[in-house]
Amino acid sequence: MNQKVRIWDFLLIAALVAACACAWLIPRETGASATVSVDGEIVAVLPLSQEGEFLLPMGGRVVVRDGKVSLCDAVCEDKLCENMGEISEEGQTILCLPLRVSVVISGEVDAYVG
Amino acid sequence: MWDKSPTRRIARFALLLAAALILSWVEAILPFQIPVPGVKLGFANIVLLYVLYTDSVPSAVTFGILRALLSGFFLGRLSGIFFSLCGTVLAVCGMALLKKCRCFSSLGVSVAGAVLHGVGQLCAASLLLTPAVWSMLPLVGISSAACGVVTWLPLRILGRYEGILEPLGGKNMNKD
Repeated sequence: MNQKVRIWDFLLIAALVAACACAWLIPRETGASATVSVDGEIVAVLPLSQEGEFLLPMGGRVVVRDGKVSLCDAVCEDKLCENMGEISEEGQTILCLPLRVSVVISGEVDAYVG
Repeated sequence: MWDKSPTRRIARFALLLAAALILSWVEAILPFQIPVPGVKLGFANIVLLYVLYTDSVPSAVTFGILRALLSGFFLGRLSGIFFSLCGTVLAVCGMALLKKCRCFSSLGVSVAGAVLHGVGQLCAASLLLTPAVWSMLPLVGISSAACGVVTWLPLRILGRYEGILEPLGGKNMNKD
């Protein structure tokens, strides 16, 4: 544990950060709908083209406004999901781990059947 | 020779586990949090790294699993136990491998451990929630890497005081 920091350490860190940055730079397109899931089960699909709101069963709202989605009034303890702000690009996600809620933007409107 | 006794080993392990739990709690009551889900500063990782370097790999794996379970119960984050278990197991295994290959100092091991912890949590989230959580990999990875550097610093400072970071059965103890 007392070894000196080596060049390999910095190379490793640079490689990890670069790998993450590359994944970030992949261009994404504006999504068409937001899929809301609770416990891995889809509970709602909201089109981004129209304003709307979905009330989560355990409290809190998924709000669509100006083509952007955000989570408001979450009842979890850390509120990280609210702080994730608004999302609108394909593949972007709002997660709330305590509530097991996920909101994912997808490209196709007709992704939801039933 | 008394450092070889299993009793001493168990007592040391328990003491460190308690220290890690206290650090988890301190982290939980900090007035600020990192605004990325699943990413924490990971103070407890300091102790985990310490166990990895001064004890054996199996001890470190056991340590990680126990810490994840106990802090889940103590801090009332039952929903988070599965996430942190996945993260911890992946992190400990990765750190043990990196330590073994001897190319990296504790800095590289700490950062890789932090990133792997994040990746493990994303694995858990993609199983429990939706595979789309992988889109958060860049954010989680980069912020975890920064946390890995932050948690490495106290270890580095501790390492300056001779004797504190002696491994079990290290040179100071063998003098007795």
